[in-house]
Amino acid sequence: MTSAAETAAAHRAVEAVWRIESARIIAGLAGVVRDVGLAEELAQDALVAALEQWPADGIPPNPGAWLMVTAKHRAIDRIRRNERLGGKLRLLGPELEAEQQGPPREFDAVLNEDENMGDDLLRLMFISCHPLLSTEARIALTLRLLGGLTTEEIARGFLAPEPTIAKRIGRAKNTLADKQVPFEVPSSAERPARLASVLEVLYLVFNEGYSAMAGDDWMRPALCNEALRLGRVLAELMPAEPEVHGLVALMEIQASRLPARLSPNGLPIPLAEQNRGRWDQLLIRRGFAALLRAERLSGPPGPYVLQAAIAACHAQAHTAAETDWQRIATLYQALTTLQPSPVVELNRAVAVAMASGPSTVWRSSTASPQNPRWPATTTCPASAPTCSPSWAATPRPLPNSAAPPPSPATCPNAPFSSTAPPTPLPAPRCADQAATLGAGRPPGRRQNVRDGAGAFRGTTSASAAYRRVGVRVGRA
Amino acid sequence: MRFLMTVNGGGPPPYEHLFAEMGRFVEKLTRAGVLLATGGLDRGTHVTASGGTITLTDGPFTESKEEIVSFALIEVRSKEEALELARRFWKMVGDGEGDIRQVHGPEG
Repeated sequence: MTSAAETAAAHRAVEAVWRIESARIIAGLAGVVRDVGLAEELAQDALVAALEQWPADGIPPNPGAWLMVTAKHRAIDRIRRNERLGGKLRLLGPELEAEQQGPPREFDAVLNEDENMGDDLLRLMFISCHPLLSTEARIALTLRLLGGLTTEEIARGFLAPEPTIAKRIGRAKNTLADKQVPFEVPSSAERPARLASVLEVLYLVFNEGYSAMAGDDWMRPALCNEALRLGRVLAELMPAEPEVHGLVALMEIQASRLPARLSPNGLPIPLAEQNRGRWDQLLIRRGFAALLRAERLSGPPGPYVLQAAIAACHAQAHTAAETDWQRIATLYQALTTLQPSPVVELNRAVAVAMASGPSTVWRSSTASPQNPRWPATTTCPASAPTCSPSWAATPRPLPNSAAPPPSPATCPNAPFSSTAPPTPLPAPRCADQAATLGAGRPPGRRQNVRDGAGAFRGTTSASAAYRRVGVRVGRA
Repeated sequence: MRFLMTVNGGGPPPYEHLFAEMGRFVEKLTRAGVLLATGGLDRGTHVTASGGTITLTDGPFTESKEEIVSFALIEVRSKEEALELARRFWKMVGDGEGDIRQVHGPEG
């Protein structure tokens, strides 16, 4: 006879296993039944069975496989029921026989192909963020299916009523089923837009968590960690996509500021005034490493890589005064061509002002779009042929990053050390790469330039303007 | 929340396939977005501070089973999740000792 406390502890242990395994189980099941809604129901059935059995019997040696096998049995029960139903329906018309095909893949294959599970996980990410769904639905479905969050947790995280979230998830699953959205990784033609949707969802979740105030439910800041975790998962699933690494880098570096972003009375502290000694150097390093992974891949930098490069500039400055504003201005310039928006323009204007003084901003902002010299207003000469195609994401190593990593060879008995030693951050390959960013690319739409500069002009100093923009620099 | 999993020395010598298995385990934790840092630890220098006097002494000092030889820093959503991962880790390693401790800060 177990006490209530023991049962509660056992339930927490089951839930922990669920958190670790649920996305893979749902993904694997969806790969078989080709319906994410049904896959989640089957997985939930398995969870209920685990909650009933594990507290008494103990957690099985391979809990993930146990959950999958249980879900499989539930699925087979359903298929049999459907077959019986199908037998009756067959009397109604032979065309319905087409519906009675078996599952396209065997469960046992799914169980055994642990290494290939990533493909199903990736499919699950893409379908959860499908453009047929509203942004809110994509977010809720992603957190539910990939994060393993309960409806109640999602509701708390987004300060929404639980029934609203439940309806949103239910509708999303129905939409995917009704429209027979295929459970697949999109084709190469579709992939950029579909990937952008996945990245947007993760970043929206992250920002929701980042905007949490002191006293908010703990679930809100936890959203940052969840988005970051899913970003890291995605980076391993799609290692050849620079923007995935860019988003991970951006989130890692921004998350590094979480401990410093609120004052004791719970008010947000602008970036320039944050205690940089409280920035989490581990996350900064991880962000730099992700940025370097993006840089090693070919292609021009996308918006997330550029924003991460901007965040890296801030992370590298030991004091606000040491910030390389010129580089940031150049990165914002490149960002305005990719993602013109008032906020990006304003941040660019601030960066230009910080680099060269307020009058320069006014000059650069009033230049006509036809003026080819406009992009280079405050930057170095836009001629660095050796750096082309170039971008500025190369983070400079932190002062103590030259210290050699612990060598596994010295610790033959150390089980954890069998992993490859971390690669030290390389020295910048091209310090002036920022100067060539956006060069050769016509300036994008800039109808907001005047607004941005106008907002800036009204202030008494560049730093005051910067304080007003605060933490939004790099988070636009 | 972060947890530091540590492994003490003094266990039986690692069996032949352990390193490959460990590599896969580490890779899996990385792919799951859980592992923040990991490494093996050399025998270090012992520090004693007493009445303003700092004494540094090269090791070894302790029984090897009290000595931490490797660590993994993980980011998980609950203590139970850390314990479950530790269970999986030790199931793979076999006999030995270690600890799982929550890390406070810098996240607060």
